[in-house]
Amino acid sequence: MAVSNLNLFWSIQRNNFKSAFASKSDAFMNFFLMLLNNLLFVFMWWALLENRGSINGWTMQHLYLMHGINNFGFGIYAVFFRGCEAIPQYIENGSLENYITSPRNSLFLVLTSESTFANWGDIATGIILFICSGYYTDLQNIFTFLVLTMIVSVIFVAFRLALSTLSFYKNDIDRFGHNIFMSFLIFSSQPASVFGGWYKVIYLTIIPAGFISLFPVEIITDFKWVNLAILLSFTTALSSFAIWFFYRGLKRYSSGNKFGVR
Amino acid sequence: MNNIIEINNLSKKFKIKKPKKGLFNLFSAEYKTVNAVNNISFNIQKGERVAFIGPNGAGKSTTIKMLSSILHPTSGDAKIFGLTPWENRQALAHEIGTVFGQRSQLWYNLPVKDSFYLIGKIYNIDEVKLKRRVSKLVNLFEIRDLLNHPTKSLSLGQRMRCEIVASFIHNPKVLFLDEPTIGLDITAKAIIRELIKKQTLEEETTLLLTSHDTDDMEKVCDRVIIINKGKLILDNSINHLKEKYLNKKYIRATLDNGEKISKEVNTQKMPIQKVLEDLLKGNNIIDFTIENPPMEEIIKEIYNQDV
Amino acid sequence: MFNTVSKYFSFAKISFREKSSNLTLIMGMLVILSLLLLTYNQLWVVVGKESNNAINHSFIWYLLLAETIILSAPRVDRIFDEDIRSGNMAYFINKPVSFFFMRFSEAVGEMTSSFITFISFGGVLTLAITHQVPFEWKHLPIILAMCYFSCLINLFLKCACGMSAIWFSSTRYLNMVVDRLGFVFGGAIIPLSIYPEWFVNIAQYTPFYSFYYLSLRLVYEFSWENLLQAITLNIFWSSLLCAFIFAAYRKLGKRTQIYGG
Repeated sequence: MAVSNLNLFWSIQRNNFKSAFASKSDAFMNFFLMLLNNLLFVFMWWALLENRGSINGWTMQHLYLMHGINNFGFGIYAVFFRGCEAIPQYIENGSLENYITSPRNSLFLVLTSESTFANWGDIATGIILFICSGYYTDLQNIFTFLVLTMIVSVIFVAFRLALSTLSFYKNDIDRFGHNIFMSFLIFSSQPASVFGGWYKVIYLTIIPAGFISLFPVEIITDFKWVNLAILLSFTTALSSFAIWFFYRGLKRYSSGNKFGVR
Repeated sequence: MNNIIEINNLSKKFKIKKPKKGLFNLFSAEYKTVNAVNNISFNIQKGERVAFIGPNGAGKSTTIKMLSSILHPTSGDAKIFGLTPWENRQALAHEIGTVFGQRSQLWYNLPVKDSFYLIGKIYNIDEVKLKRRVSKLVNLFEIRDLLNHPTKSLSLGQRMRCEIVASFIHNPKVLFLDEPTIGLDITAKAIIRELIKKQTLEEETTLLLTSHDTDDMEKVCDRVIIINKGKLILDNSINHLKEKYLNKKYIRATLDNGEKISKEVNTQKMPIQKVLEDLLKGNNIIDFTIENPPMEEIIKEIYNQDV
Repeated sequence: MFNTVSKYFSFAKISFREKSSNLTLIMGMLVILSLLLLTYNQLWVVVGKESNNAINHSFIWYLLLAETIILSAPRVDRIFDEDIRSGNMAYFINKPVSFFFMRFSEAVGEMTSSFITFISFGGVLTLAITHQVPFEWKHLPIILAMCYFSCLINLFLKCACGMSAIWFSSTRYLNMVVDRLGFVFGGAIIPLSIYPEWFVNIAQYTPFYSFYYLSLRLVYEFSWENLLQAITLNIFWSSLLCAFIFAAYRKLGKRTQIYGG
C-alpha cells in the first residue's frame, strides 16, 4: 500500500513538473521571481541587523536559519501538498466527489492535487539561506536542518488542512481560514525573539507560528532534547488532529445533503 | 431585398503555437495554420431566425465572433446594417446583442439585478426606461426570484436565462447566441428555446444561433446553415432539412426478456405511430427511446447526397 | 460627457457597496491589519528598548498608512491577467464601454471602501497603542488625501503588472515582487533611515520612495515643502505608469485574438 502510494506520488509529481515545464521560460521566470521575493525580505532584516547587531539576542545567523527552514518547509508544502488549500473550492464545485470515489486514499489524493512550480524558489531560498547561516560545514547540522524542514512542512500542511477542513462544517468559512493562515505566515516571518508576554501565548497556541520559527532555530543553535520532544509531540498532535478532523468532516459531507446537489 | 447581414467570402486563419521539446529551447516556437472559417457567404434578412449548425470545431463560434466584432477576419467581408463590424464597433454596439454560452456577461459576485443595472448603464439607458424594460423581460423569462441572488449561486439553466435577458436589455435588432443551450438538461433546454422564440418573434429580432444540437434549430429557427470544417455545406429552410435529412429516427427498446431491439425508421415512408404499434404487438417493453440522428450523421448524409 | 462619467461612477458605486457589505471579509482584513500593527509595534518596542531610546510612535502611524496602501489594493493585477488570458476582455469589445476603465472604476470603488475601513479602524487602534498623534489635526485631510493618492498609484502599478500579461505569464509573481519592493524601497516595516546610505540612494529613483516614503512621512513631518515635493514626484510617477498602461492597452486592442470552435 505504502509503496504503491509512493509510486502514485511520484507519477503525480512527474506530471506536475511536466505541465509546469510546458512553458519553460515561464517556469524559470516564476522560479526566479519567487527567489528574488524571498531574498528581498531577508535583505530588509539584514539592513536592520547591520545597524543593531541583534534583536533580543537574535543575530542575523538566527534569522538566516529561521527564514531558511521556513522557506524550505513552505516550499515543500506548496510544491507537493498544496491541494489542502483547495478543499473549500472542491467542496463548493463538487469535484471532491472524484477524490472520494477513487480507490486510492482520498486525503492523499486531495493533498497532492495542487502544486505550484514557482515554490521551488522557496526551496532554493532555504538552501541559500542555510549556507549563509554558516552551519553547512557540519554534516550533523545539515542532517538536523533537513529533518527540521520536513517537520516544518508537516506543520504547514496539517495546519492548513485543519483550517480548510472547517469548510465541511460551515459555509463561507474559507476566508477565515485563509486569514488565520496569513497571520501564521506573518507571525512566522518575524524574529521570534521579539514576542513576549501575551504575544508569546498566541504565538504558541492559536496561531502556532512559534513551532516553525522559534523551536527549529533553537534546536540547531542550542540543542536541547526537550525542545525536540516538544516540537515532535506538537507536530504529531497537530497532524493527527488534522487527519481526524478531515475524515470526520468528509463523513459528514458524504452523508449530508450537499453531496450530489450540483 | 432587406438584408440586415451580408457575408462575402469570409475567412479566418489561426496560427497555433506548437510547443517544442527539450529543456533549453526557451524562446523559439513553431507555428501551424488552421483554417477555422473558409470562404463562407450568406445573407440574412430582417426578422429571420437562422440556426448556424455544425459539429464541434466547425467554425461556428469563430464566425459569430467576427460578426460581433470580436475577431478580425483574415480575408473577406461582412456587413451588418451596411457597416463592417470590426471597423464600426461603437456604432453597431447598440444594435447587436450577444450571448456566448460558455462565457458570462454577468458580474460573477453581484446580484443579478445589479448586473442588469450596470448593463443598462453601459448602454446609457435612462433609469425609468431601464426599469420598465427589465421588469418586462424578467416577467417573460420568469426570473424574478433570481434577481437578488449573485450570479455565482445560479444553476446553469437559471444563469442562461439571465444571460439572455441581459442581452435583450438594450433592445438589440440583431441577436447572436453562441451555444445558448450547451450543458443544459432537456427541460432547461426546452424552456430556453421557447423563451428565445417568443421574445424574438415579439420584437422581430433577427437571430443567429449556433449550436451542435439539432433540436435547437428545429424548435427555434426557420432557416438553417450548416458548416463543417470551416466550409458552408448547406443553407436552406428548416422544413427542407427536416424532409430531406431529419427524416430518420432511431428507436431503441429493451424487452422484459432482456432482448434489445434497435431500429432505424424513415418517417417519410413509415409513420412513427405505425412502427410503435408493430413493436408493441406481442412484446413487453421495459425501456424505450426515440432519437434524432446526430449532427455527424446528417453531415455525412449531406456529403453522400452531393456525390 | 456626463453620461460617460456617470457610467463609470456606477461601476465604482456598485463595487464600493458590494465590498462594504461583505462583513466577514472586512472583519478578516481588520484582524490582519491589527495583527500587523501589533506585531510591528512589538518589534519596535523591543528595538527601541535595546537602543535605549523611547519607541518612535510616529513610525507606527507611518506603518498604519503604509499597511493601508498595501491591504486596500484590490487584486486588479490578477483580474487583468485573467481577463487578458481567458480572452474575456475581447467579449467587451462590442459593448459601448471601455473595458479598462470599467475594471479600473470597479477597483477604485472597492479600494475606497477598504481605505475608509482601514483608516478609521486602524486610526483608533494606532491611537490606542501610541496615545498620541504626531500630526496637527488641521493637516489630517491633506495627509489622508495624499495617502489616498498613494493608494491610487499603487493601483496603477498593479494594473501595469496585470497588463504585462500580454508579454509573459508570470504576472502573479511579478506583482508579488513589486509589492515586496514597495515594502523595502518604501520603508514600510523598517524605516528607510535604518538602511545603508547606498541603498537609500537607489531607493530614491523608484516610485515606491515617492508614493510610500515621501507621501506618508507627512504624517510626522508635515511641511508645505515636503507636500509639494511629494505631489510633484507622485504626479511624475503616475503619468509614467499611465503612459505604460495605455501603451499596453492599445497594443492589446490590436492583438486581440480568440480561438473559437
